[in-house]
Amino acid sequence: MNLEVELFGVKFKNPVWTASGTFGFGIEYKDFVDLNKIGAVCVKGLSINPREGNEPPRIWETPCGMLNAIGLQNPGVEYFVEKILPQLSSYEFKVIANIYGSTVDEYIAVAKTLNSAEGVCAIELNISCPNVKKGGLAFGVDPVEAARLTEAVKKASDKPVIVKLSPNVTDIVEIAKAVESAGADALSAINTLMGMAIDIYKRKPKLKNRFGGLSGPAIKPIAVRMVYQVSKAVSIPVIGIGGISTWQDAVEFFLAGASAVQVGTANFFNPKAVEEIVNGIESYMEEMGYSSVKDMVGDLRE
Amino acid sequence: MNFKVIENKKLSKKDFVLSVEVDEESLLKRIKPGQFAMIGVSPTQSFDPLLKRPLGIFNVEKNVVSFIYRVYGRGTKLLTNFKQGEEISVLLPLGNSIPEQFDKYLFIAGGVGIGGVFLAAKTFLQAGKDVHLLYGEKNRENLSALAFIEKYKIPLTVFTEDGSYGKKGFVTDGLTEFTDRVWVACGPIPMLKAVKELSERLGVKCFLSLDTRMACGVGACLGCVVKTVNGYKRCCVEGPIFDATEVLL
Repeated sequence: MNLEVELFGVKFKNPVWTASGTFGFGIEYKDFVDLNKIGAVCVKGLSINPREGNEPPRIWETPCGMLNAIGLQNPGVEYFVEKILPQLSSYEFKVIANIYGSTVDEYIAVAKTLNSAEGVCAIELNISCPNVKKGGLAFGVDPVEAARLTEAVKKASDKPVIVKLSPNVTDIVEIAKAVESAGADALSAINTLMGMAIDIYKRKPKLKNRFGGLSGPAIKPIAVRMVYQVSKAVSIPVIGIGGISTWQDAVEFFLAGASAVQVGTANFFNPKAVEEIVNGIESYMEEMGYSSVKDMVGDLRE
Repeated sequence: MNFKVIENKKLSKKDFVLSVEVDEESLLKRIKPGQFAMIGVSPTQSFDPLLKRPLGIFNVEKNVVSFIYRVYGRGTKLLTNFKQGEEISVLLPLGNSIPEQFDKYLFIAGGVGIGGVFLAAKTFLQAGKDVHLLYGEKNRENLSALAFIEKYKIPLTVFTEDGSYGKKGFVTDGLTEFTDRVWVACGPIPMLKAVKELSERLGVKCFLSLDTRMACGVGACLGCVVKTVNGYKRCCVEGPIFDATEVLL
């Protein structure tokens, strides 16, 4: 079965990718999984300067999920291009660079640095990190700001631009439409939901950052709903993210309208999740008589 | 990776030893003293609890890898349900290891912290190094690893807080006798703090084995970082073994 998909002019061997922040730069997992089974790796969010990230504790497990407030710790885009990217070239997966900045100019600077990075097939704009004060969420919750940023990055970048949407908004469709009009080549949805957990004996938040992004199976129904709504409203590809842990989860997203999916938190508890999902989708497509992934996208009988 | 459970035996009121059969020779060969594993705690596939739990590799004998754990919360409670013959999902070996270039070691274990230093004590002793172990606990009943330590004839001083076995007091009370050795400590944070302070005051080379909450165990999530003089470092990759002068506890 051929699982190949072509999105924004790029061919991917399959539509199952790893979500930013959940798979490092890919090589962290090289001893535990066959990296060549992965369609694409969305690398940890890159900024113009290296970032230390938030003070620990940064993670807390919740029922069927987890909260994180990493704070976009990363070595900076230049280090990525010079030292990390060359290590990825021997693998078959495509590299998508997730980027963020605290100002439009910072986003532009990161995007420009990546123009010369041959191994990067697309950039994913993080306008939705809930964990740093200027982590882009300010852009992600306002359709006008989101569009302004998308337009600016599109102008600066030679690569296709995916805009990663925040679920922490009243109307995700409004933002989706705004960034589509501003020239986005694709959308990815959803980022984490802002949450909080409290230690009842210390009477303190579990996370030093107070709030964190909720991810994992717990958020999947919300993500499926949002992907469904967004994909109905736009004509650019939507990449589904949110709690995908099994092939059945992934199929839900395809039927809801996703052209590809990203596996996130599942990588933590099952490093082989992507491989298992790819195999499961293949059998499902055979069983259901789909000859290409495209035929399955949005094929919901209502 | 799925491994077969050989035993999951109660050692004391709250402590268990879990042994799994690892048939992959290449994996066994990679295991070094001080490393850890991520263990799936649900016997059946379940998303609650979601994450694997980090446990120090306590012992390796032929193709059997063992872990000592204390039941603290839901995850470790669930782990006790595993029966002999069942499959368990384990990722190993992970993290750096205890530096092995020195000749004389003092291992300092507080409670189940024994799980982080036992394999080094055993292996280094077998390699002909001069090894001594300080093992501290609240009382006699909690000294879960005593039989293992005796089995491998590791030179030992025991401290119990109530004096019910060995010397009365804290494991840190015994440190000053061993200033001619490299120290390696694993245990609760207050103990590690005391060991770090004393080693710095006495100018003794000292390593600490740290334990933090982890999601992935392989360096991807950046959730387990510890504060060091050189910024945040991942406990799962740059650790769990840190030079005591480097970490800020």
